[in-house]
Amino acid sequence: MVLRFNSPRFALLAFSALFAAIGGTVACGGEEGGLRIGAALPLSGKHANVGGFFRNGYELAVAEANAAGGIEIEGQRQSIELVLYDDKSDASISPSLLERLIAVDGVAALLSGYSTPLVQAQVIVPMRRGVPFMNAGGASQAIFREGNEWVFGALSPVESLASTTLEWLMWEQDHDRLPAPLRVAMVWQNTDHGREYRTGVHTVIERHPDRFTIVLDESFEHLSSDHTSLIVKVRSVESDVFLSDAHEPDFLLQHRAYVEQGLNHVAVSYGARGPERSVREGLGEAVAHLVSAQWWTRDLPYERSRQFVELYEGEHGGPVTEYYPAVAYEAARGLIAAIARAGSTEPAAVRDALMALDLEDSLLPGGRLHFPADSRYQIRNRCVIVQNLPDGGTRIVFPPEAADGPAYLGPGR
Amino acid sequence: MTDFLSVLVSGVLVGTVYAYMAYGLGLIYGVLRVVNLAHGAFLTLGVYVTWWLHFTFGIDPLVSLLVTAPLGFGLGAAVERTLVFRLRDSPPVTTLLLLFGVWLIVRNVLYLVFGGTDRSLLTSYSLESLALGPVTLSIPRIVVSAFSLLGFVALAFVLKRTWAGLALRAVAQDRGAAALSGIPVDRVWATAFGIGSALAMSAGTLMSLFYSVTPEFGARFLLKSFCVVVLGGLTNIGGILVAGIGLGVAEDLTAFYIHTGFRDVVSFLVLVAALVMRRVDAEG
Repeated sequence: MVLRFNSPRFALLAFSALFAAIGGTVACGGEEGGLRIGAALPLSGKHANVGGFFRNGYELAVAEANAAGGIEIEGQRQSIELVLYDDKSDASISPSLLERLIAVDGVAALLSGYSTPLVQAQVIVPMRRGVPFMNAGGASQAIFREGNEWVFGALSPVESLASTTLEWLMWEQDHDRLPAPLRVAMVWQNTDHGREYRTGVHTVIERHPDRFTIVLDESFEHLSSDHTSLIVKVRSVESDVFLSDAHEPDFLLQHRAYVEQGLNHVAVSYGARGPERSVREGLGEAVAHLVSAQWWTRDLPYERSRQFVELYEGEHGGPVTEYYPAVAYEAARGLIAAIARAGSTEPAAVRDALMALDLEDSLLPGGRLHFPADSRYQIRNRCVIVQNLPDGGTRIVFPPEAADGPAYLGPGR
Repeated sequence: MTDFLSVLVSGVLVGTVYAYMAYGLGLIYGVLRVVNLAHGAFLTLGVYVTWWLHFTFGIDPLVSLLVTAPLGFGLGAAVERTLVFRLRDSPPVTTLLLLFGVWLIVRNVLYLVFGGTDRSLLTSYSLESLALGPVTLSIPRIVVSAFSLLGFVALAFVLKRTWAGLALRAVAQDRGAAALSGIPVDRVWATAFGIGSALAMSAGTLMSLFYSVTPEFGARFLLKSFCVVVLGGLTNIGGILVAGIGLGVAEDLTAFYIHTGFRDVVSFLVLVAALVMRRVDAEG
């Protein structure tokens, strides 16, 4: 057989070879021929570790649905097949893999990858192609554009990290454990994430000017080579509370400088940073009493959360210390529930079902999975405030209905 | 005044780190006239080897220097012998691309072996500090500064007081004349690349005392090293030390008195200014 360069067969082979080269391996779960949902995940490259958590979460939700007999589509029960590609943590590859999932694999809906820049690159595809896309990997509101009707977010906005932290501080003020107004020193990474954290802080403080006074509000560059001068600046403004929004490398360096300079605040929080194992490895006991806002924690007293922990740790060993697999699991569960309610794989029907979805047994803080139209279909749940304990464990300190003990408050100035 | 002193001292300590990580880059450029884009790879390897030795065997990072420095020398000399040497008469851009390729390979191998998670290590003195009156000094940073100064003295001694140093300087000044006077230029090149890489890997070891590492670590500091080398004089080890400290102090004072966000801008303003000044000097 002669293969001509201009033949369709050659084009198909070339297309397949190209995708094999850029997309890495394909992993599937469930039986072939069933309903397909897909994702391009960072399974190698700089986000490989988190990408692995996402894969575990997605696979768990699909396995659970399949074990329950799959879902009914147009009168027939179908198993769910999960199609995954490795985008190598590369935002330039990720969108083309989503195109492949839609055009070649024929997925009915998409699940997101991880990290705001990667998800921002991904969402262009479902919005253009009109395919439901469930995002569990990027919290930035920049992902949810004006007029969006295809992208749904299971991760509350970054602003929630800040607003829940301040709500907790107000709760402590209400219980006479903290004075008012509190002097707040806030520093934030100069990225979408950091800017949204800052907006969250300002939004709450504008509503409660009698509770807080901002004495420092300054940005810093991501991957800064030193944070000592910034920490000296924090020391010079004499604050009660220190809030920072930083990714892990900057957090490690910043908190090192904080400890070296001997600062004391009644509360110190680095956004979502704090309980990770890698953080304990790098800073040891110095992270005791840090307060962090989390999108999920294994100690949440919800039945669904307990079931997830049991399932996940049974499958992968434990303890599950990161929020990633839980949010990924919940996002996939929500998407599967919406397809089941739509009873169809028709994109508009699934989209409408997602718009109307309201799961009241969610494992997320607040216990509800719902995508409000007024937040462009991004979930708006409160986060959960967790404090690191000196023994290496964590404790939920807010909201009160989930708290398992009072927070330790530092000596302050 | 306390704040000013704290920031000033912090700037000096950071600056000595900048200098230490730039010595190797300056030495290699001085002798081989090669901009070593693989420098970031050696820095990163230094941190990873140190982290691995600490994580697996509990070896203190400072003891790891006994492993990383010789390993860096061996790897550097091997890269020079097997790759750079073959392109010795090619246009500079060829070597530049080759070494960039080496960096990409190392980076991807590190991703495969260690993944993209931030790795950091904790020793008994990692978070210790020393109070000198109102100023607090970080013990790890003092240690790294001491090694930076020691590295400078050792390098200056080798270059000024030993036959090997004489050979290095001779090849740096005029390769042809050095060869005519019986200096084995090929071996001097390998030695220079080896020493430069050993300095980069040992800098990585010392930086592991306070920085976390991912395979992208080298990229974070390579540009800073370039700034220091260009500012200090491409072949001048003493100039590199002074430039490193100057840059560290300028960055910290800018961050404190103007805005933290301008910290990195200082490096690049300095780089541009230094390049323009050199151009003016050359034309003048």
